[in-house]
Amino acid sequence: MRVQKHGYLGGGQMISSSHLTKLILVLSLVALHLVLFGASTLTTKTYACAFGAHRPAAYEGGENRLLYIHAINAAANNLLFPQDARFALDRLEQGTRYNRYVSGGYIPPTLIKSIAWVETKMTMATKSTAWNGLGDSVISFDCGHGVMQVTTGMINPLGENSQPSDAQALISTHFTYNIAKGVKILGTKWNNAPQISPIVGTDTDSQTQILENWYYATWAYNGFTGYGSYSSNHPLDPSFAWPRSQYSCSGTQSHNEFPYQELVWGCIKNPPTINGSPLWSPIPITLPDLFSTEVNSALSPGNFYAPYANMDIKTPGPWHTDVTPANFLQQEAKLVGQPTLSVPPRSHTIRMNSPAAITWVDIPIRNSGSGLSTWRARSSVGFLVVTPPAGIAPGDNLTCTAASCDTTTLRIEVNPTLLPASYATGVVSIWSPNEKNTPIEITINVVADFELTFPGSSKNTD
Amino acid sequence: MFLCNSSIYLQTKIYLNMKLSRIYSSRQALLAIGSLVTISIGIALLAVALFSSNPSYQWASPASSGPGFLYSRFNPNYDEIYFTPESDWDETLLLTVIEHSPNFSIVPAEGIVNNSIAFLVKPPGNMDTLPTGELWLLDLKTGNRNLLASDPDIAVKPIWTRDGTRLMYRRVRQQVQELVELELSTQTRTVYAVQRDPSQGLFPLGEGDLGNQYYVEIFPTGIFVSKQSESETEPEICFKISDTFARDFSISPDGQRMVYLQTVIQSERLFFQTYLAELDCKDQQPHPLLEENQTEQYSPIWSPIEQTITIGTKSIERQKSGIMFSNGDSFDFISLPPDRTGFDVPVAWSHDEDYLLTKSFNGLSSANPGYGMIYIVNRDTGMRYKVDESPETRIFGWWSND
Repeated sequence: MRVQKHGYLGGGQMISSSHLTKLILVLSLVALHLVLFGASTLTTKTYACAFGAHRPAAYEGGENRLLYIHAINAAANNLLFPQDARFALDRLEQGTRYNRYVSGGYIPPTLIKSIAWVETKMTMATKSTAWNGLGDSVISFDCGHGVMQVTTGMINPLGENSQPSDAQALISTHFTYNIAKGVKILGTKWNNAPQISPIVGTDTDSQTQILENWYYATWAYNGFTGYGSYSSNHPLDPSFAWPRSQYSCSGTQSHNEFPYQELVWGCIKNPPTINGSPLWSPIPITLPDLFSTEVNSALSPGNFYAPYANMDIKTPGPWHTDVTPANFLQQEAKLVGQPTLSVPPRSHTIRMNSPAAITWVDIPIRNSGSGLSTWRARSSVGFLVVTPPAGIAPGDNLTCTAASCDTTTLRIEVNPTLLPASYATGVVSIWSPNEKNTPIEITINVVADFELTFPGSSKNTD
Repeated sequence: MFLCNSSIYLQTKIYLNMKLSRIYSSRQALLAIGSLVTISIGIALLAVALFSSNPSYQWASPASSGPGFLYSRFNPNYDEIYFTPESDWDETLLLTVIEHSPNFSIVPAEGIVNNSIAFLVKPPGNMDTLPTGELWLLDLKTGNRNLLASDPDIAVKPIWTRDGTRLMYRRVRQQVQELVELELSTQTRTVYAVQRDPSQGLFPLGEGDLGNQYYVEIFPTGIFVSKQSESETEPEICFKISDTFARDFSISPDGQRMVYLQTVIQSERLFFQTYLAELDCKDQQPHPLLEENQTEQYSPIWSPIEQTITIGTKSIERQKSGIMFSNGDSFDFISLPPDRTGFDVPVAWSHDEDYLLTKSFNGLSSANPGYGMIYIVNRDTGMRYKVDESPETRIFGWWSND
């Protein structure tokens, strides 16, 4: 906005009382606007990221995390979206550095569950969101989104006109897509070997089924940072305590005491419990022996450069596999389903005939199908602001009992400062990136012509 | 007319289509008051919104004077700071709590200076996975806290200068690491070392006897000690510490020597062992503290008066685990009681050097150390007393509390 300086500041021009009144009125409106709409924005500690200052709504499953665990089991076997290149797990390579070949698409599910727990305690929405409810998607300051804290591709809006893309909306709102994307990224970290990543498992053909072989890929999921570097995950970095207890995943130890992969290993060995029940079966996964000359030499600072060929190590032993079955077909209706976006009345009029008038309309959004419907909204005009710009609507087959489930709404609000005239019309499009239906259009008419009067005053009849 | 050219006014005029020409002066006043009230409420609400996330805390002063030590106990969302007096090791007084971002403990600067402690904290609400934190000073007499800096790297503990007037810490800006010296009285910050390659490292080491700032640099070619002196514009690389891994760097109280741990190979296994170096930067060749005693060693520290070097040692073959400290040209040794397994990690000496604070681990080796519990060890008698067995604690140091 262009700001002009005015005479009274520098030129000594006197201000009439009516002008002063107008000024105060303008300031009060600005203050009121900030109070009503701005405070939440100011306290929302989110930087830019894909959705700017707005957090899209997300669905949070039950406290037992069963939905997420089912999704992880399916994603680990590339059963969720095998035909969608944005979310499919790539086929993974295995073999030694000079004999690498393409294998299947499989990641040990318990590894993914442990990562999800370390990242977010396996939650999709912010802490204030009730279980089986709707709330703001959990977004970290570095733009990590959702259960798997997906950062890759979530730093900036990637859609048209600097808007978020459909894939970004799905990752932010829908746990199944979020998990699929996190798993895909982990697979990418694995496939970075041998070109830009070292290999674990020179003696086991670096098989993907062996949990211990994922040590470097797990390290890379959080950042393949070396000895002494900023945000180091090197296990012998001077910033980590020595000796240090093994991570117990019990909430009694801080995260900054451990490299990332040790947090994940600790939770694989010691699964968190919900109401006394462990979330997965413990696996006594083995860390590399930092005191063996082979491992210590491999990890030495002088070897930390691409393609990291000198960092290749044998599988830490004893090694373990993960045989968690994926019962995707039984869970498909909940994890993916057939969502159908439903938006009643397609036309609304907002009358702003007094300062106290309501300047918005809330549009209820329903999913008359199954699973979760991620929805997005976009305004055709600048004076209509949509909040949130993306959200989620659960189908009837998903439990949504929290009070927040009753507020699956899109708010369309008039920004008065951008109104082109006293009467204006705009269109808001609503569509679902995980459906194939055409966008639904909502017409909003705005009437802003009114007279300002006060009790006891004469009405202006000019 | 005033505001006639203002775009704000024009837009607002269109929106409101106001006709204000007949409003009487009394109503103008009413409107003005109403507007001011609205603004005030708005400001108040904004202030509440902005500051409500700041931690509220209470302060409990130690009931009696006398020396003791301070430590923190980790909780997922806050750390508790305790004082334990020398007069009664069973008395642990909770002084205050420090709220932090979930799962990120505070990182203390070692030592209590001018009745104050310094620590890094990743503040609540900061969910950033990047380790940027805040540096705070806490006055132990009053409980007052002062925010000193909002940019430190929480992974690297801050270090007091020898006279306690400044703190040295690491910060990272757009992947450039910088070592900063903060003058407490003036809040002046001086960047004294820079590393632009994010794959390499900088760690503050401390202040030398001539006021020079020493620091550790990690390159692919090895680990080096460097110096920045006031008289020189460019830093000087003093000597190479190691080609392999080194850690737990510590400058002597007189600022003339340093000790650290470095990996060495024995029987195809690696151990951390203590090395000693002079800080004169002249053809320096660090040498092992114990030439013939090949055991795994932990956490070399200095005593405040005699400047004895104290290390923890792990049993190998017939040798028992215990604490070893230099005594002239020889070493004294306090072994673990016969009925105890594990090993000790020295943390800090009392001011009079009568007591040693240790983290005592109950596991069999560094690879599986178990939990580190806080113990007090009497130097003369070797008697040990368990003070706290919480899974994660951090020790600030000894406080004279007089």
